[in-house]
Amino acid sequence: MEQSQQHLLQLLYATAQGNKQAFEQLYQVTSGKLFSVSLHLLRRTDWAEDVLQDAYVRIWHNAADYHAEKGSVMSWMISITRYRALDLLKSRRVKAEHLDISEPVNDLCGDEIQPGEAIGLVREKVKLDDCMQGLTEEHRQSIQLAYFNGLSHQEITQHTGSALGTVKSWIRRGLTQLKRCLEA
Amino acid sequence: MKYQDQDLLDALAVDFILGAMKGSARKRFQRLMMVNTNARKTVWRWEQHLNPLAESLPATMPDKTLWLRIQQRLGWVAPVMPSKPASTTRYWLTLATAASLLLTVVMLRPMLHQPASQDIAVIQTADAKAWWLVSKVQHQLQVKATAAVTLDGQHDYELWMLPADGQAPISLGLLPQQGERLMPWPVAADGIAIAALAVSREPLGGSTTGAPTGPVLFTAEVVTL
Repeated sequence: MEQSQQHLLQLLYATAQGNKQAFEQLYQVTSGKLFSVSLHLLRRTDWAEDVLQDAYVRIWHNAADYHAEKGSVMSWMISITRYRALDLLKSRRVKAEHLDISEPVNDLCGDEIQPGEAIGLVREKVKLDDCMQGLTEEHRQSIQLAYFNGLSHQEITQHTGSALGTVKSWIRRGLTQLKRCLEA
Repeated sequence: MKYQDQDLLDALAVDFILGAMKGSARKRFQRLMMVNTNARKTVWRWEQHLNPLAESLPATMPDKTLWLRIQQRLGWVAPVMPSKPASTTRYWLTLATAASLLLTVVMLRPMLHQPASQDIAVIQTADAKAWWLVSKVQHQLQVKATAAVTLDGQHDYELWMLPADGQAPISLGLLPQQGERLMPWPVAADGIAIAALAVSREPLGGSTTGAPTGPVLFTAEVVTL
């Protein structure tokens, strides 16, 4: 796991020096995960591909801006992808009624790689899983809907059938508890 | 400003990361991140907390052409020619002409004894993913590429008619990789019964020999409506 972060760091460092082969390798080892992130937020293959394209163009240009305080290389790349996807989601005004969260998104495209491949987030993931398990079902579900599907608080109320204030407080309380657990 | 309040910063950072913060609030917070180290670090910390969630998603490989498109965006490889760039105006003229012809046809139709027949074909992969929809009305072929078409900047896809009498295939023209294209029905193919359509991969600009030179990727039957 640590090795994977080291490996990504080397690739990113070489990318920042303008090494195209390193950038291609970085694309090969990370694009599957980033595409999933994008696809979950947008739920349309064409939009998800547009976002991924933008994200990698940005990664190429901004590779030198990365530093360890921003998190692992993978976390930094996920953030770039997520913010781009959230922008697109906003500009296309995708409404919750167009989304069927229950439908497994992976049916939309083939070539699925099973999880478990170390890409530098594994250790954090184990801890996060533990902490997520400590949350109530409502807290956990609200956080997941907001994080994976980019649903607004309002949209989450439609999904869970709860009041807006309730959803807001679930997310806030859930995240506060999560933070305490993660930073313990 | 109460931005010294860590709980408030945490809440704002989370709203920012989850996309719950919108419009001017989002812009204000982005400005704050530029000037306030603590705001910036709070966001980074929450990104590190939350992004491992993505680890539980199974990886999904994007289409193979995506890497090519990224290289094109970065200017490393030549972009795919968007099907005869100079002829955009002509395309619209053709479309406009076709539209007015269509209008004439529609207006004339009630007076005709028999409705004009339409030949259609769906060119699809073995797993039934449609790549092109082809329809022939009188002497025009209208071809529409679907999003499933694998973009290929190095080659063209060429459409062929396979005559029912077993003669050599007749080229119907190059298929668009994106969007729609109207193709005039070649005189050489006039009055010949069609057994099927075929698509071959050819060098850019199409086969120069008059016969398919690359692999035949698809064949499709024609249905008359």
